[in-house]
Amino acid sequence: MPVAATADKHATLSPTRRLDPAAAAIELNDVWFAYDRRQVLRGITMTVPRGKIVAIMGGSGCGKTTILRLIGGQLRPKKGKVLVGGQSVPDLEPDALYALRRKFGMLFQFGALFTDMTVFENIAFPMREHTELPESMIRDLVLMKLDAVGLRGAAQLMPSELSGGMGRRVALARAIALDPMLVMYDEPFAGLDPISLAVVGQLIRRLNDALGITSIVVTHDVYESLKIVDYLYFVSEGKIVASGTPDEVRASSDPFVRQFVDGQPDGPVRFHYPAPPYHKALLADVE
Amino acid sequence: MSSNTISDLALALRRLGGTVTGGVARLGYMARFLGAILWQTPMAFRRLHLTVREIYFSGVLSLVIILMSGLFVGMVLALQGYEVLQRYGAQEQLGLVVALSLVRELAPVIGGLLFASRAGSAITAEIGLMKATEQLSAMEMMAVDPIARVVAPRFWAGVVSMPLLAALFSAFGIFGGYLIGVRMIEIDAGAFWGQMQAGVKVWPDITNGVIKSIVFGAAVSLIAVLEGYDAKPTAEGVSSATTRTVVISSLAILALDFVLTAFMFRGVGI
Amino acid sequence: MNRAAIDLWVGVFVAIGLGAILFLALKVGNLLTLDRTPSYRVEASFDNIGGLKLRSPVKAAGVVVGRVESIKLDPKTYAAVVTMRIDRDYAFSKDTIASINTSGLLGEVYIGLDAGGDTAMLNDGDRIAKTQSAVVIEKLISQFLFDKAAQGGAGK
Repeated sequence: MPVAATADKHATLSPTRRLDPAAAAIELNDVWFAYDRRQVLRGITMTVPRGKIVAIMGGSGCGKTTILRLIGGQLRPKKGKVLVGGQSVPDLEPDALYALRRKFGMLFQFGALFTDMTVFENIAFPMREHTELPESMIRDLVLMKLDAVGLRGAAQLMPSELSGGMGRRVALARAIALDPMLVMYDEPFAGLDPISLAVVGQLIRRLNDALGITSIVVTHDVYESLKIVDYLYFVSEGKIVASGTPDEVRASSDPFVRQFVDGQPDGPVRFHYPAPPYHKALLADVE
Repeated sequence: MSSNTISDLALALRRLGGTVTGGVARLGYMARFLGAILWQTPMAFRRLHLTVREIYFSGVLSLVIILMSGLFVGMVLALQGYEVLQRYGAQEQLGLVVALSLVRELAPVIGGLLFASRAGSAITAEIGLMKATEQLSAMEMMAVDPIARVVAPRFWAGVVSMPLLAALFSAFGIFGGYLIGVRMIEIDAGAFWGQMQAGVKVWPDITNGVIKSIVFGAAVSLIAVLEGYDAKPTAEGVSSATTRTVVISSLAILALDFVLTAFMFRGVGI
Repeated sequence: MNRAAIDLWVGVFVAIGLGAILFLALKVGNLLTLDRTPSYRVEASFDNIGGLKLRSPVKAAGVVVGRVESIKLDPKTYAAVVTMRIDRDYAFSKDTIASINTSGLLGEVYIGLDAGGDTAMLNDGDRIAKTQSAVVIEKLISQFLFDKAAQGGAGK
């Protein structure tokens, strides 16, 4: 498959790739977090082994993106430990945190490309900011990253000229620009057409294996996730309610997992928003 | 009934107190934000082209409105000024009146207000939108400080552009005054320019005008970037931040104008 | 907008902006008439300087030849000592009279110099011997009333 071939070729040619013996394992230990009054996470414990793809699934607003923000150090947990490669992220000094972030790549929901720069400049951005590489080398690297995602011909377009799927792929190329050790994907499948869905899913898997990185995918797209990830965590109401490999999940009899995987409107996650009994509300005016 | 009005009064007082303390807290936040900008400035100036780009968007693109407004204000000043001066037979002083009004007050203040509504709101909207589309978050996650890369260039562009725009406002205003005074009303050109030269002093008039415009530029830019950086990442959030920029900047300009004028021009005789 | 075009426009903007500031300073303000020209100091003491201020002009025959540099009170004679800077292009005789005048009824106050016939010229640091103080309206009125009263008395 052309995607695999270019991804593998890219992996051996990239000069910025480092063999980092330190574990890229992520560990969350009994993490609690609240936005103002709203308790979002209530004791999350999970591990992400090095070199694997882990999916975090759950309904909208259940705290999946918050977990990514905690790992990236943008938020501090009220309680509990967040460890990346053995380092406790919330306790890092700003300089150490920035040094750690340079080893991360993040794909934001809907891309978050810089709208005032071309595709080329978007991918060159982290290279120009964090390395002293000469422009000729940066140019080659950018074209290689674009080639890995199949968009080398779109280098001079502006983000506003890209379709959703193309924009997502450019953001992916930017996320791997510095050959990170960890890539976090925030809803990478949101709003994409079936072809783009398949392309992005394949790219996540191939790049993970070819670059030897660790990936965390936050999503609620069950179908795509089951195709590509190594392990899944299900989050509901701030807790991990289920976890397992794709095969375990498919065979699971846990009601929450079943409701999620089968797409049932009602189950452990209720259809009706809490309200007083129906007949009482209807009869309220009739005295 | 009276207990109702008492509780309403209490609520109103609590709200007022809340607004005042909120306002003071915001001032503190603004000061810290300014500190962060100044701290990041050297890093921002290593990429000078960023600031140059922002000078283009704030300064160059404001030229049309500034020059046109300056011209019209100068022309109106000449008309109104002539009408009043000729009651006392002092028409020859028209040049002086037009020049002093513009250089001391109108150029920095009106220029500042126009800059706030054109460039200030644009800056707020741009930064707010970048926040809403997670571009600022993306920069943070890529270990690039958005204050150094996005905020500081826009702030310094405003500080640099304002005095230039105010000077151009004055220049065009004086030209407009000349057009009306000398060409239309036919005041003696020599008297027009001569009285102006005799009466307008580099210190304090012109220098203070420049100082005012720099202070206003800093105030407008700081408010604009702060509101954008702090905006709620939704459509209403960005739009209300933009209106807040224009309103608060305008009030700040007028308040600072009073303070600066009181300091600079107390008891200045001729 | 590519970078070259932006740089060009910003350069133009900054250039015309600075040009406007220069225009204001030179054509509108009095930068050119600032004390760039070499000058020498001359002192004069007055009983009353009236509305004379720092940087008031010093004129001879209506032409501005210098500016007032400092105004002090002599603690011994209780007279005002005014130091002026006069343009080196103009030399004044040692018996020049310095008087404080007002240009017009409501105009600005300035020092007028009437040159005398002495061949010796004033040097840097010299003092003008003959001075005429400012006319203070109140003193004029009381003088007028006093004269009128004296006239009336003498007439009897």
